[in-house]
Amino acid sequence: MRFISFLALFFGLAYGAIWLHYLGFDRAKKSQELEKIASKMRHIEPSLSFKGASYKEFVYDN
Amino acid sequence: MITRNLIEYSIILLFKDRSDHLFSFLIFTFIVTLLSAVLFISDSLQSDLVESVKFQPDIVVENTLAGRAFKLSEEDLERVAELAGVSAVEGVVEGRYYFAQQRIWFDIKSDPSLSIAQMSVGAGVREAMRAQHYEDEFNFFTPKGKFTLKIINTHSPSTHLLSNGAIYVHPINARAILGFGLEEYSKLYVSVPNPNEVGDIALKIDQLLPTAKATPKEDVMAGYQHLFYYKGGIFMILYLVCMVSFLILLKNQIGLVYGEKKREIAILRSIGYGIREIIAMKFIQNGVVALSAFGMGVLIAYVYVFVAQAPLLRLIFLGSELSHRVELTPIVDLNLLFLLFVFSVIPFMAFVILPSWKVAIADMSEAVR
Repeated sequence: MRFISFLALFFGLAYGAIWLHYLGFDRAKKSQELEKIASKMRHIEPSLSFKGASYKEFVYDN
Repeated sequence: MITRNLIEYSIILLFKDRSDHLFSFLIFTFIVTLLSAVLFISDSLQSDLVESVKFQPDIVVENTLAGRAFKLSEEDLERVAELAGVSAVEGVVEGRYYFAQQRIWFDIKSDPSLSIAQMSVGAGVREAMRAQHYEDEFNFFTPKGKFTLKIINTHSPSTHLLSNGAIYVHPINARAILGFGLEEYSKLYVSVPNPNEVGDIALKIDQLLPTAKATPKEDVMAGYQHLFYYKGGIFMILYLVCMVSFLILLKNQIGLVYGEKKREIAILRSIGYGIREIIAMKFIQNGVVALSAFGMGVLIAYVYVFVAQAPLLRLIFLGSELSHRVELTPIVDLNLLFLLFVFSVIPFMAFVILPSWKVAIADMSEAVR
């Protein structure tokens, strides 16, 4: 039983920490910055830096 | 009935066979970590893109000549503007500039808010320029000669996905760098007030300018929704690695019931343990392993992707030509995690519980002999 309690405590603390990280991320600020730059570009395209098209096609569909 | 004693005895047996259970735990954790990390990265990138499409024009027109991107003229712009249903057409100048010293390409984008002597750059571009000792200024080499612009701003890692490889300059400078004339454009942004007319107008533009391609907003959005090549490439390799690992894991799980373990079950049966207790013990042991491994896998993947910003794996998704100071938005798709849980934990448990039940109901004297 002690082992199960220890496991529950470990995962409880670890998931608590990542939950705090998840909630602590400033989404509003990021969204604002993305909007600011997107408003200049309008038609947005991801800024990728592959060596060639075949490298990109390894991951992306188009 | 699962009693406290049964749970404690199951845990004792779990530690007795710790090498087998540790092997299962490690393989299971590896599979969950790998799948979760890739899902986290792809979801995060996709979410940032979808977040940024608010200003997407209704139709984007791009021209080609002999299969290559080509300029659009002022005359093309006027012909599109005259179409019924079109409220405005904006010509933009964008393109790519080859930085020969580093042998990499930069994306040149127009930004009218900048003054004529200034430019702002993405973090990856800044790093590449610094490598050639361009600290505050950068020289562009064009067919008409060299000209210098001052770097006034480096975009933050939070806009990395849009800006990392981009240089933003005044439209006049964009024309000079890319060799465009005053009445030439690389793209046209068409505004259509009635959303129901967008498809028809895109078709009309295709007919009007036969070498051009008009892409409606809906197609662009659909492209962002189906961004990744799930049927092949890295995802296919990922599926294969996970499938092979899972088969090894299941083989190990079956091994936990046959051989010496079969004898163990037979002894438990002969000293009075019922079939239900034996199955409950196996369920507790493997439930602890499966839940711990799944929990640990998701935990490691989260920390790797959203805290450490996915070193190495991000290069597969973003390319390795420029450096990436990225800030991935934490996005956790619980539906996909649940699906992963169902398709991993249930077979894992089934592959030990079903053989245990089969052994437990068999003739005990045969197994003990």
